[in-house]
Amino acid sequence: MSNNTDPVTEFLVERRLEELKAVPARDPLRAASGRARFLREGAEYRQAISPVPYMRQSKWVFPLRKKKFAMNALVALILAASLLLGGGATVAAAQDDLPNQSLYQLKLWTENASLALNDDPHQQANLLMTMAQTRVEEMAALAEMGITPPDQVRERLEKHLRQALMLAAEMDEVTRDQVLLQLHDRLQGQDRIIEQLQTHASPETESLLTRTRQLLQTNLHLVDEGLADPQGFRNKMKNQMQYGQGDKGTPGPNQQGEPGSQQNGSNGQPAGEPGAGNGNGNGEGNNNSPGGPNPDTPQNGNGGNGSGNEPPGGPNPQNPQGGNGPGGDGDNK
Amino acid sequence: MTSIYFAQDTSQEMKIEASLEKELIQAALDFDQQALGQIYDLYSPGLYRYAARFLGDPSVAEDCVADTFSRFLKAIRDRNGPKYFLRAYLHRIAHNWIVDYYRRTRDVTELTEALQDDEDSPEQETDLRMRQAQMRTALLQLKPDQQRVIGLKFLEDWNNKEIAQALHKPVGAVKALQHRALANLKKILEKEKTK
Repeated sequence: MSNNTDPVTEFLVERRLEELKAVPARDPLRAASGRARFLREGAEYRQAISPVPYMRQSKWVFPLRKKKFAMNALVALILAASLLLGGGATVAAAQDDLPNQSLYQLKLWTENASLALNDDPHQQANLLMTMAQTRVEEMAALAEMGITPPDQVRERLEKHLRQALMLAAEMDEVTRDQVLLQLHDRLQGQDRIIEQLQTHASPETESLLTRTRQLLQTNLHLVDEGLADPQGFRNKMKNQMQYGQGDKGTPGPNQQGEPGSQQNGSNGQPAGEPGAGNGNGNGEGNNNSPGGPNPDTPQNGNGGNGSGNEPPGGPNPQNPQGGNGPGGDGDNK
Repeated sequence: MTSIYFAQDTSQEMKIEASLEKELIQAALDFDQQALGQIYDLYSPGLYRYAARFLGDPSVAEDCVADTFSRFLKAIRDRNGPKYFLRAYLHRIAHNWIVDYYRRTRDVTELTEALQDDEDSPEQETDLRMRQAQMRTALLQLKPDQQRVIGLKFLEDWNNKEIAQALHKPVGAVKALQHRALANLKKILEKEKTK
């Protein structure tokens, strides 16, 4: 059924919605006490806050950066050696290679080297998106030739997407939305490519393509979640990083960018898949915030607001919903 | 009996300029009491209305408002707060609180049943409250973005540009979302009717 609404439908539903507009008058005492409580809390924070807030760590440390120095040195060395030995042309030639061709590993190396040598998270995210696109195109090229793409290609794709999402989660609001919207478009395009390939794929290839589509859709879901609920998304990515689900090893040039076995990763499952597991927290959690224990965790029976993904130190300030609200994520189509 | 009124939607906070919001946010970063007071006065009436419309209970709506502002302070403390669009930001927190509240309490059906037993209310009002409860139940079955677009567009009378800012989506996407949401809402209501 089409999702379009006719004017009559719109009118009828709007009329029903009008009925909700009638709200009970606000109790002035409750309003005043709410205001007082808000100002009191503000005053407490003002007193408690350290005089040098910029010195307090407000972001988690992205593992990519931890290893950056050593990695950069190594990459620089390898690239220098490669260029000295006249490898520039070889590197260029490798860029069109497919996973079953001899220079493919070199292609992966150069990709990872570009990533490691880049300091700007936005550019890193762009590179990762390009790498993801390359993986999809490699799959398409192999499938068109009647060859089943190796599963490692899909695993690498998974890794690129996850890393891009993790970087996005750490960005400022404007850049994050920009990256997520870009990623959204890319993922949709990639999904269409794989969908087309499925129509004439062998059973073996079909199986891989199906899993690839699941992966793309899972990430698309995460992207949508990131756009709708940035804080929840950030917490989710942070949790994944903490529990080692997200960044399965930094893609250094001395690695092949292998994300490890499929079983230890998100396994095609949406790491942030909405469901019963997320969002029904009780406001508990490890309170490791430098600000000390959260003074406001559930106190009135309605304020639990915790989520399985709450950051240490208190409830998620923006969105406690890990899932998609009551009734799950039903599309109601 | 609870007094009912139709809220004025030409509320003060609709006219707040982005530059003022930015100034208020800047001052709030230092927990400036005057700015915080201004923020509360400007935004709490709208948040209360929004929460009361979704929750149907003034007391719970006040809890929602209180927690929304509390979370806002924590976000500022953690340097995680908004840089602009404060009103949209606060509505987002409030909406998430509402969704979380229903998820925790799951009392939508109980609410409907309770209303059926409300013998003290005049028949007409009971009828209205029943319909309101049904509509809230239906709204909560929509996807989160659809809930928010319906809430902001039809309950709070925000324009598409404001909603686009709040949802971080282009205006075109907001319009499409709105159409989908209305169609889904109609479907849910029809389904409820046939039960």
